[in-house]
Amino acid sequence: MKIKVLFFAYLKKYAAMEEMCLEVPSYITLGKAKSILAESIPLLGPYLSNVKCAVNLEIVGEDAVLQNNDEVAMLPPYSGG
Amino acid sequence: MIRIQYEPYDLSIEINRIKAVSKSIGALTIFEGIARDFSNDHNVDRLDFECYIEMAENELRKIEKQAKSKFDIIELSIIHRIGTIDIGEGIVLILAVASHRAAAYEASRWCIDEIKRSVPIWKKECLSIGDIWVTAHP
Repeated sequence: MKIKVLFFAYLKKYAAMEEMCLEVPSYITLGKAKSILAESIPLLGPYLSNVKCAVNLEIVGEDAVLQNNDEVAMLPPYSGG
Repeated sequence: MIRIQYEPYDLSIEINRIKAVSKSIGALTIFEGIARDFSNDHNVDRLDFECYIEMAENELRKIEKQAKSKFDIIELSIIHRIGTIDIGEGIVLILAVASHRAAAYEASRWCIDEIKRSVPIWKKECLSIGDIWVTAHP
């Protein structure tokens, strides 16, 4: 299945893009999808341990199960306000 | 009312707008976060803010709803700018109105703390030595 991955702030530099479509197995957890992402973009890997992830605009944990066409945002620590 | 926008806001317009909501308002508090010219030991030339807009708007709406539930306020306005912000310009504006001042003060402080904690917005400081993404907020 395919998921849409969004990158923000400094992650865009290491990913060399703002978003991508990632092919992952069905019923995969967020944690395992992050591992696949780190393998496909090695420069990004070290920075993924310090991100929260939102799936379809809601923060979820690593054991959340992803669905086809989910929007998964990689969110570094916030610095707004 | 919550807004995320690129362009500067007009403080007078926003104050008049929120004061018009009710004649029971006895207190209005204004918090404005402003772009300053230093950070740690560096001079800052300008700030750039990036945002996951759809999620940020959702989170601001949650903050607005929770603030109205937690504090005895009449109305609340939160405006956060994104994009490039020059030194001295406003970044975030929180207006809280209540019948009495304590609730307005408490709601305003709670809101800015919650914005920093839960809204997906990121600040980049543009310095003469290069740009730095801020990863922790005081």
